[in-house]
Amino acid sequence: MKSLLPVHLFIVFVFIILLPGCSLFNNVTREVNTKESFRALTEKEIGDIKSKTPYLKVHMKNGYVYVLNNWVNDNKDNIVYGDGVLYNEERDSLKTGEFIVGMDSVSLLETNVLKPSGAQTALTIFAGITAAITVACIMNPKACFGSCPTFYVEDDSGLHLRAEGFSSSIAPSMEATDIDALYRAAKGGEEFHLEMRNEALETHVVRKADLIAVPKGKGSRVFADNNGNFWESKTIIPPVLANTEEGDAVKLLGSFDEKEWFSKSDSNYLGTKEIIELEFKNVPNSKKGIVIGCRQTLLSTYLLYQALAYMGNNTGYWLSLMERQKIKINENAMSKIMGGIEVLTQDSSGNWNINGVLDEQGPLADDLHLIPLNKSLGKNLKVRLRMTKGNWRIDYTALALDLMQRDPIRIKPNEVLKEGIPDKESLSLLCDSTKVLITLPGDNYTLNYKIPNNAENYELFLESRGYYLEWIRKEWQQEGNTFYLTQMLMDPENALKRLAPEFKSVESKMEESFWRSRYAKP
Amino acid sequence: MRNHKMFLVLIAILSFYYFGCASSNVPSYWSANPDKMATDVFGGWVDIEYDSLGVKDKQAGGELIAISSDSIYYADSLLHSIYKNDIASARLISYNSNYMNMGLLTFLGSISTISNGWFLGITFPMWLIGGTTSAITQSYNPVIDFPKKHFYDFSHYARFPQGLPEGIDRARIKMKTKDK
Repeated sequence: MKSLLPVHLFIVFVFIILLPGCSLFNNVTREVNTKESFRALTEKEIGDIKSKTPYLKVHMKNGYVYVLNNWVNDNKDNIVYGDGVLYNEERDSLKTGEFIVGMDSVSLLETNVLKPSGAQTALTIFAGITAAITVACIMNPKACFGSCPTFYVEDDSGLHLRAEGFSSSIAPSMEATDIDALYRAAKGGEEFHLEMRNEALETHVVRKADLIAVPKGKGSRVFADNNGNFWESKTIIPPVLANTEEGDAVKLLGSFDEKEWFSKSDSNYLGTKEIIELEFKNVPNSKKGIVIGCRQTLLSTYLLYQALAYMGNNTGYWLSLMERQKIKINENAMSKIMGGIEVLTQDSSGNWNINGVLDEQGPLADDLHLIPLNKSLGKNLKVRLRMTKGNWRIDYTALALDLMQRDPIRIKPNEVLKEGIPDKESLSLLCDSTKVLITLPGDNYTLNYKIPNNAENYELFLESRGYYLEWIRKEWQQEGNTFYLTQMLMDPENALKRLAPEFKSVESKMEESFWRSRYAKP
Repeated sequence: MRNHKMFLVLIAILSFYYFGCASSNVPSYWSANPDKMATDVFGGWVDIEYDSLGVKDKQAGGELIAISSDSIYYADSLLHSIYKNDIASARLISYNSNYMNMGLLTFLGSISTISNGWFLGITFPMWLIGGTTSAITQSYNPVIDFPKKHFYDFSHYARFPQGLPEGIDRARIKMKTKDK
């Protein structure tokens, strides 16, 4: 059996490489309506169509076609409108933008709805049963290093881990876009480099790794909010007080210096909440937001790996349920309990209201985010950060004033090197959003970008998109327990109470085990 | 011995594929993936067998442009029309089923069972039969065949599902190229 292991692993590696193709196994149902039958659709039917596909193709009598997104059907004015693209009869793109189309000139209206194929479902179940995915972790299996592509950037003190892409995207159906601030990156000249590594026993599926450059003035900094908007601020002030359960933490939270505040989890219930109350003095009346630099502790990683362990030999079955949207990992009750960092301010009645939630996942690299604040009162501002105890490591908090929204410039890599050798194929894959770059443990890519003018005139961010596949180790398969897995999904409160003592027994040693188990190519 | 087993598995699967999966002359760049069909503005690929001027079994293929009451219009570097009455059979490929990826997964899944010991008796046929059947089924999902189906079903996947528009310059209608 041992002698078969390298062959078996090779087969599984290639199998996992092809697994992304499963997302292509959908079927398409095309509906073509005359304008009369389209006008006769009820509001419910229109809503049903829109929930399944955002696109509408409008075929014109002269052979032109509009492909509309976010479309609206207005029977009263006999029009349909939306934003999209107009093509001529030779299918050259003529114009992109917002269109209002009069139905008098329309021939047909077409929609296309995706449905998973039965063949895909069958194959995924077979894969779940036979795919033996193994991870080698020396110490605590649940402290195995993992968490998606890591990005290293040069700053004043050398090359450092500064971003981790799409940390919560553990399956093809959870593919997501992630924006990470490269706040400390050394800037100068018109070229920028970063390294993308696969340091875990995972398969990474990377659709893009673009640089975002946001123009800024001298002395300003730019921050991203949860909606992918970018805000410039010239005035950033630290808190004068940061009240925690352990006392005033303002010395740790007042500067972005890799000295983090964190707490220990609750011994009886892992979902217990805690509050940090920040105070800011002499705050002028302007558009403002809270800046938070943070990363997760290993508590969420532990819970994820525990869930995978409870799946035992049936991981493929459970993953197929996720892929078919029968269970939604990110929307389940456990995820809601653990949650993100809620940012609250008081209204005129003294009630605390949520302004936004920072829910950036990942335990590897501190990331900076901005939560814009509602209109606040008074010159002395109090802001509460509410979060699950023991789940966050916070390096920095500040108040950014006089916020001005800025438009980003997206820059694709102009060169990719794999292990130091130019790799045109990888460059082509990263520059084509319909394709993906697959990386395996130990892979190391250098991505080079050309920045317009001087990099010092821009705030830089990394925008990555993709997902990754954990390799489940043999030891986890021994822990298969459908009851406990179901409890995590359906009764997370009791699951978090039951797991509290076990997690507490490893909590203090997890960080060390985690970082020591990074994969390194021999 | 293991290499021999793998070879037999590969031959078995390739045989299923050769005789089982839907075949076509569609170029590799042609068909859009299912998630792109909502925004793809070209017609599907059509292969046609027809008789003309006393000559039987003529073959043609290209982008399905339009269907009229008596003719099918398709394009390669030019626009052509064929009378429906002359057509013996036709096959439309509306989108990319990616069945080849599924086939490769089947092969890998099958040979991965070789290390399953005595479970091989259960998992190997499950992969070989189930996996190959899945891939064959998948290959037929985007296929529409005449005379099994009516030409009306073809029209939905034409570049002009409404029929050939009046007044267009037919000389400028050509099939999609690789860079479009």
